[in-house]
Amino acid sequence: MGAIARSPFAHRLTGASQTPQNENVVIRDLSTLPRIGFKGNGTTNWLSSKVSAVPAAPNKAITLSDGTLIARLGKEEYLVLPGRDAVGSVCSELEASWNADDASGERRIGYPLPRADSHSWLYLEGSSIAQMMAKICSVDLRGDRFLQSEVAQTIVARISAVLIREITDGSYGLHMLTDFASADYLWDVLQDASAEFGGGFAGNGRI
Amino acid sequence: MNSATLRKGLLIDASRKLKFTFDGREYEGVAGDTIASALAANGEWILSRSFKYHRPRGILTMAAQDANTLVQIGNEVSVFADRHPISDGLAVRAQNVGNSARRDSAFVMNRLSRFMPVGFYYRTFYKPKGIWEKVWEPIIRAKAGLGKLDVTKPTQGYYDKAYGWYDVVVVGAGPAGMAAAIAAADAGASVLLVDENPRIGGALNYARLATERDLVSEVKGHSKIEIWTDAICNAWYADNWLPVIRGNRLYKLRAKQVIFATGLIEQPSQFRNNDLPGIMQGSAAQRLIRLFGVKPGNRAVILAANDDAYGVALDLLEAGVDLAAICDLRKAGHHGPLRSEITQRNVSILDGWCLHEAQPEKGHSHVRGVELAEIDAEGTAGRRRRRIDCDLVCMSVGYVPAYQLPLQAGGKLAYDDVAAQFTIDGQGKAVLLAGSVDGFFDLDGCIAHGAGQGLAAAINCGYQSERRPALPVRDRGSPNHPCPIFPHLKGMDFVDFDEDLQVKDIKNAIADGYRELELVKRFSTVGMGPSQGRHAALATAMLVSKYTNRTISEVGVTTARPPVTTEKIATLAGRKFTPFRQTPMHEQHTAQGAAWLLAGNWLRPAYYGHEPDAKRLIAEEVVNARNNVGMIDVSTLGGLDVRGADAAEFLNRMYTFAYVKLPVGKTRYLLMTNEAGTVIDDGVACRRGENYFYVTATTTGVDRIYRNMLWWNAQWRLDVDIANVTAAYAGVNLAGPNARKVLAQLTDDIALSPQDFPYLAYREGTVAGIPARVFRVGFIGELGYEIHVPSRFASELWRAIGDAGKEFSIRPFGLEAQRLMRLEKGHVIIGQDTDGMTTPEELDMNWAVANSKPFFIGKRSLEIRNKTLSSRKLVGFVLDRMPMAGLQESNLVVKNGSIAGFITSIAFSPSLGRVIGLAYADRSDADLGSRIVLRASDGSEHHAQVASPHFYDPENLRQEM
Amino acid sequence: MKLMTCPLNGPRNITEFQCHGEVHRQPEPSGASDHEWAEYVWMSNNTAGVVREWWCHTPTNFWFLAERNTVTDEILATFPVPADGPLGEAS
Repeated sequence: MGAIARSPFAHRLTGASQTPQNENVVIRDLSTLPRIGFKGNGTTNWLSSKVSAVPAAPNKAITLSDGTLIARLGKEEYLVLPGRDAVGSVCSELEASWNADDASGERRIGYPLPRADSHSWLYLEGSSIAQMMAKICSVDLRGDRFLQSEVAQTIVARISAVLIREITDGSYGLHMLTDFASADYLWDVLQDASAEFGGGFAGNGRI
Repeated sequence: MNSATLRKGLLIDASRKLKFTFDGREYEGVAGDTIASALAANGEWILSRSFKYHRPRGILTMAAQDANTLVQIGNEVSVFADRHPISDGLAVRAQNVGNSARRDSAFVMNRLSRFMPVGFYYRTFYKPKGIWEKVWEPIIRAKAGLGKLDVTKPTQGYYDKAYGWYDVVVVGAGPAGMAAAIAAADAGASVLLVDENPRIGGALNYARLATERDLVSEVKGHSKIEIWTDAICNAWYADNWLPVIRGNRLYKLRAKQVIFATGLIEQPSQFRNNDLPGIMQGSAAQRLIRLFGVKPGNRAVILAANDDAYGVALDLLEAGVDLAAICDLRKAGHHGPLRSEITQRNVSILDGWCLHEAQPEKGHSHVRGVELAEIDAEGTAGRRRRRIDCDLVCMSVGYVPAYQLPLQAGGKLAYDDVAAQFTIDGQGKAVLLAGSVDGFFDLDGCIAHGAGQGLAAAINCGYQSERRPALPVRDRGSPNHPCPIFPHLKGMDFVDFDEDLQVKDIKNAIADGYRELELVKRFSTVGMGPSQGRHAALATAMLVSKYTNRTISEVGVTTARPPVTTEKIATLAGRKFTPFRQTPMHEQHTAQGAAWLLAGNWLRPAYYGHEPDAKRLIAEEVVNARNNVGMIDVSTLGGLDVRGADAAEFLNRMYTFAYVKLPVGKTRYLLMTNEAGTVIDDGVACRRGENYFYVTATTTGVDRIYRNMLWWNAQWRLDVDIANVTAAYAGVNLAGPNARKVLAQLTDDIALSPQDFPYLAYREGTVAGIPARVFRVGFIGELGYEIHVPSRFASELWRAIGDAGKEFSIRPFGLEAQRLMRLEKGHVIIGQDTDGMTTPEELDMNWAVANSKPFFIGKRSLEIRNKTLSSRKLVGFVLDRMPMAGLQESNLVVKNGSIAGFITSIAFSPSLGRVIGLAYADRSDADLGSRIVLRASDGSEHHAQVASPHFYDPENLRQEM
Repeated sequence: MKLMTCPLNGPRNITEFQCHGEVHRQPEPSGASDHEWAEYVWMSNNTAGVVREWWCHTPTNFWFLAERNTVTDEILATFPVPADGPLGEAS
């Protein structure tokens, strides 16, 4: 495949975007990284057989030893995000594995979901993230309430979002996955909400 | 009336001078001053003119509770002068005045007042018919109203909102509120203490109260207590949802427990000219002295009905005000601790006397003196009178609890006729009251009650405490006079200052038959002004009870609804959160000059080019697609992956057509009806595999359809999984006679010959190196390929198709051209050509309904509906040219003077050279060649000929090429 | 703003939810008379008291059942749709 995956934020990142003035609110675009979802009857059994562990309950996430983040979104629904150091093979491996099982006639193994195309992916980091999010999200995301590996599926500035708490080097981190097509809207919202903290966008990819 | 000033107060810094203007005149104030206190310090007591009679009005409460103090700052109207701080260069204007608050030409209204009884507007201005709109309304609107808003000016400032979460929110930082906050926080709860004043402490800051505990320091030093001053909790909503306005930000707080320690609102007495500047609540005088260092007058008369009045007296004496007399409404024999202090000070006290009339300075600019009267056996002003000169009258005759928030929280208000006191009860377990709002009037009682309620709130939140909440017992007495109303024969004894309502107005409303309080309110408008009845509700209830021979508890009070006090629209608006969606090709459309259109929440190109040329551009786009090749971004089309062993069965139930036997690699039209048999969506089902359908749905319908599918399957429990992949797949429709040639350059793994890839087939492969779902459908009626790819790669696809099409002069077309071409083909748009009643039969689409199936949603209803066919049918029609009047969608189809239907689509067809359209018409006119009558918006009628809706290429030769 | 406890996502503002009306049993389409079918399509019980309703948590499109008192607007209980068996429909 010759084409290069493009982030829905790409044109905003190359434009004159607001850059962070400090470490209060730093927003990174991870949309070009792979990600995949699985859902449907049998997903939990199937995924458990492919990875070392899956979260025990919905709205929890776990981080595997290779850094892969697996968030459980429902009884039979998962979201897989590659870890920060991973080259990103876990998603393609899982997809290939599912295709092979499906081709061999296995049933009730759930179905893959094209999360890399349906959802944009931002990583928000810094000491004022919770305060900034309190302006656009009605779920209490404060550090001592929304703990490591907790997941909130809710509404951010009137669009649906999957939020996953992550602690990196002791600082507050939040994965935010929202509608791919609403990226421009979300960008404007985040730029506006983070301005008072001197926050902004720190380019794409991980640190 | 220039009082010598103290200028040493809790809230001010007298060393920092500030200059501001009021009605164009410059004044000097000090840091911490409100507009009202600074003006008072300069001897300016008139802040506004009253609503109806344009009487001068001034400070009543110094607590931002009344309309008397509303002023305008810039383009911001109705700002509380006794709350808003001054700043250097602040320009303040009086509201509702002819020229200035001091000189108001409209004061003549005062003398006309006897011609304007209650209900005056309702009676006077409505005859003859039409005169209200033409003559009276413009005049009255110009005279009345508060402030002048220039709506052409944008709002200044950045307004936003934020959410917040607390265990306990305490509203009111007086002694009870502070004690509650400390007790709750001590037990471990996270506490927010909210107060509208700039400083916590409540009455401790201005009244003669002393505590051993330094509550303010305890609160400030507590790590679990957050303090918000200058913050207004403006409502209570379900499950302790509290809007708190703090500066330009509206906080939406969720509290596990809320404690209302909102305190009391001091009430005025009613006597003639009780609205003159210089007549104020006792607490207002205390606030002026203690908070702002302003001497409220030089010679005072105090109207008393409780011991607090004697505290006011002591404060006035200490501030250097001469005390001319204290007039106590109570009969002799009342002794409180503060009164005892006064009796040693050689002040004249008249027990059992009332204030009967206040006498004005020229132009009613200030109070000049009062006439006191001994209260007779009936409780009214008797014959014995005394006149006293004074420039200040302080009223301390009683209070009502600040019950607005507790009542919004479900509390019920009752009145104890003996104690002359309101009680509040029944507001539910998560809402507690603390202190004087709950009938505790002594300081120790307030603090003890607050502490008990604070602990109770923490325990209700789940915090453990060894202590149990101990609540004190209420005092038996109350500081409230049962009826401090002394009507005057000549009136001007105001019950409602906002609305200029006098005692006789309430009396007359009752005489007119409005005996119930809510009716009195609506007829007289009492309590409907900006103060929302804070000072009028109780007096009105007292009058209604008096004139209808009922008790106040029988009469009740009017309902309290949000908001508690004024709030700006900008505060409610906050930031603009209007989500919109863009396709991955958005930037490319912009570069190609797209004019945008909102389809649902998607931005879509309407056409490419500049608006003045829109008609020509759309026609060119049509012609190019019809004769050559065009491309359109169809990414917004809904996309659903339907997978599982029961996938075909699921579609069979959801849609009218049959899908079990649809071969893999083929597509079939989808038509959805709801349970009533009404057409609600359509699309295409592509069978990717035995158990895998890729289903399209309408742009605006897909989210609803998807949710609906999940709901049905929650009941059917079929082995099927549905995923909404709308945003995940972007799409391009490549259409026109040259479409195959263009696509051939972009794929080498999909065979494109008509035999290999016929009409309605579905294929997968790569297009421009991108994995693609490709199918042949004919929405616009030309050879066309719908190419769907993962959205990350869609901009690459758009570029590649454009490049490949260059040699054929491919051009993109927008939604307008697409809509026009589908109309030429007679393809309906669900939602435009259908309404809430449309059946498949009315659309002539029974071909898409598989009646042999045992079930689909809507099947049973259609069986019933098809027994008696509706009187209408969707027909195609043609006109040779568009009439001058213009015909539009929704214009009526009329038959014999009645409505037979309406136009759903109409346009000039560039391909056919005539006007074509779809319309609901009478079923009897559905035959080809019939004539129908279309009524334009201007009422003119135009004949059209019924034609097959398949106006263009009716044999479908072009799309099946 | 009311709170509602989603069986999947926990307590959330009611604006995250959509109510889909009372749970009521669809009569067997082929067995029902026209009148019975029309009753089912068009008529609601509109019970004053405790009703069982369909609700959807919109960010997740998660459907669940709730028992609500229509007189007091109190939400008494929420629970997931059972994997099999009846839904507790009012007839």
